[in-house]
Amino acid sequence: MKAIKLDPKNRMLHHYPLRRLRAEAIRDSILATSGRLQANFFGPSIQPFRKNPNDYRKLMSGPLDGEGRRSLYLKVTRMEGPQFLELFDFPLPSVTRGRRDTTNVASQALALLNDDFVIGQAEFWADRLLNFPNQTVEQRVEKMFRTALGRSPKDSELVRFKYLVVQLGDLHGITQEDLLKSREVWKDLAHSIFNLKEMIYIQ
Amino acid sequence: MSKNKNPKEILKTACPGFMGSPLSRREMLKQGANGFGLLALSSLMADKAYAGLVSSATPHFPPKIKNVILCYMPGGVSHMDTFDPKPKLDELHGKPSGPMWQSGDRPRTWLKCPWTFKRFGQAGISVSELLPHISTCVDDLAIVRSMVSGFPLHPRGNILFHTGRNVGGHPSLGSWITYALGSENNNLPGYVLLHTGDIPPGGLENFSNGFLPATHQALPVKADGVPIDNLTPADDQLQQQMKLDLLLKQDREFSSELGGNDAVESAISNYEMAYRMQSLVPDVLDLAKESEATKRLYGLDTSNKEKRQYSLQCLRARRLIEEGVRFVEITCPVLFGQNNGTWDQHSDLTRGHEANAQVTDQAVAALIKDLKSRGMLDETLLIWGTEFGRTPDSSNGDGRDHLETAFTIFMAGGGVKGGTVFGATDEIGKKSVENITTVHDLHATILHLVGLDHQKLIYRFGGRDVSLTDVHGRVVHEILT
Repeated sequence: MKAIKLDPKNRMLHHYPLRRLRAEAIRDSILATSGRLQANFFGPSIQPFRKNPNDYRKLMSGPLDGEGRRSLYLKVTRMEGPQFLELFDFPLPSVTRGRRDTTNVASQALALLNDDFVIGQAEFWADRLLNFPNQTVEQRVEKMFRTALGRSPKDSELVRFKYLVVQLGDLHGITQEDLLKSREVWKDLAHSIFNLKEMIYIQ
Repeated sequence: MSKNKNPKEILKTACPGFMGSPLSRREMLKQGANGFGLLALSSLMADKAYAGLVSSATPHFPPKIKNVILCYMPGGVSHMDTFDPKPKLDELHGKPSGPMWQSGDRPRTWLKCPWTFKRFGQAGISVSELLPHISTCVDDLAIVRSMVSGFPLHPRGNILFHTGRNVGGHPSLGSWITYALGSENNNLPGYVLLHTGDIPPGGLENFSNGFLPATHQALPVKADGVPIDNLTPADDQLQQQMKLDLLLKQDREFSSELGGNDAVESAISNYEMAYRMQSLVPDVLDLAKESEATKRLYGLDTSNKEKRQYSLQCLRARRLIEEGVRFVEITCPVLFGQNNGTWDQHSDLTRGHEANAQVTDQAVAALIKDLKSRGMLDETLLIWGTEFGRTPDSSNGDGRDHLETAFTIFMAGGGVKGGTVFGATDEIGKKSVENITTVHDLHATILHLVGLDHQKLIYRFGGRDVSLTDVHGRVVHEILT
């Protein structure tokens, strides 16, 4: 605490500065959180998902979730990197790059909000959560926080997330008793957590 | 990057991985050495983790125009069949022209232009009947007949035309311009690529920000189907709003615990922008507010699918620059399933060039006329260009091959001397001989018109100051007012 007082801007690097995860780590943490990540080593690389595959240019498309493989194993073609990663400053494959950019643009928000990969992983996570129907809402949110952010929610956060669960339940026409069985509600909750800045900025 | 002598800035860049120390707006303003005007620029140079585009950036000198539209004709348009008449080829037609390029070819023979040329406008400029609409605009055009490119290959030629280099990885012309000048509309990207599903050879590298911040890459917008990736909300509006409400509260708390981190704050505001873009962008692209007469002018009433798509994109280009988008590029649909670019007619020249002209000619002319009638042509530059020309001879009697030593482009708009023909090729159109103009000269001229000195627009990358034109480039004042 004394250090924060003496050097509030952290110019002397008394703590490691906040940083955004790299493209690969963002994709991998979404997979890890949802439980889809295949952490095994080795094996052939896998084609990244492409919205407009092009046979002639050998830009082939792979499965949307890359079969859960780590981003390290996504095949990089000289002409075009994996599209989801490129949004988060994955460098052009055709040039050397000493240090990556860390841009901060609206297309990243749009991807996390609307990309099929992110939505698909939210569904995957929701399905896993539904396997434990005897939890309370609080217990489930607590578990989600621990999985995604590695910490327990504060009381104020629990209130906030519980409120969203109730709101979404109303929206989707789910009764109080069925809340914990609703794939829709928990998909939305999972999707919200993927969109937290805390997911991609680490201290 | 460390040109800024402010010690804070030096510290900020000294350590890799050091990003975004908490810095309030007020403190930012206090970094007095740069003053308010350079605030945006200094933060842009010191920290690439910023949101949106800089709109307070200033040109090097008063610009002639505000926006650029590039009507790109990939594949290599034949100059001697469009803007560069070669009557000598009528005499030579059918005679042997030289050795075969590859075994199995028929002997090469000279090929005359299958179309007739006529004089148009007060300037009396010759244009082929292939382009019946563009030819009515010649008094607004500055036609450069003496272009040269470095490469008779599509990907290299395209990438040279767009980035000034023959290898990918460098920023595109549009990226340089938006990097230097920002956008006039903070809710829209500064550089938009209007395509119909076909990306020219060289791929997206043609439209890449290269080493400039990713904000300056082209946003591809497709004619039909889903125009922009991830723009269609995955949720209902109410559902999305509920999530965004929670995110805003949650993220604000996260940010304040960090002492108001700039990068996180920007990321938060990006969500606001993203939310607005979801409704704003489809609105700009939607033609509901355009009159039937305007749609007809662009040829949108056609039954030809590709022509309708191209016309749609041309009309969208006007709407985008009206909204303040700085640089719009329109590429052509590929007919006949060729993959080397629309205009690449090694055979079937007559049919192929005619079909391509049919798709593009009317809409390009309409764009010029429409901009003019709205008083927008004075502040817009329209460029019609291609990566290279085509040979005066043929290996099959109805086709032309790649020719990097001569081709034609034209420009129209503010600061451009209309009704001008600049440069000339030799009597068979094989080589530019008079006032030879390189792609770098073209780039220098375009930058000049938007108020930028091509020798001063530099970016430090890989240990050197890199510019669009490198050590080349001359502003072609002869075609400017």
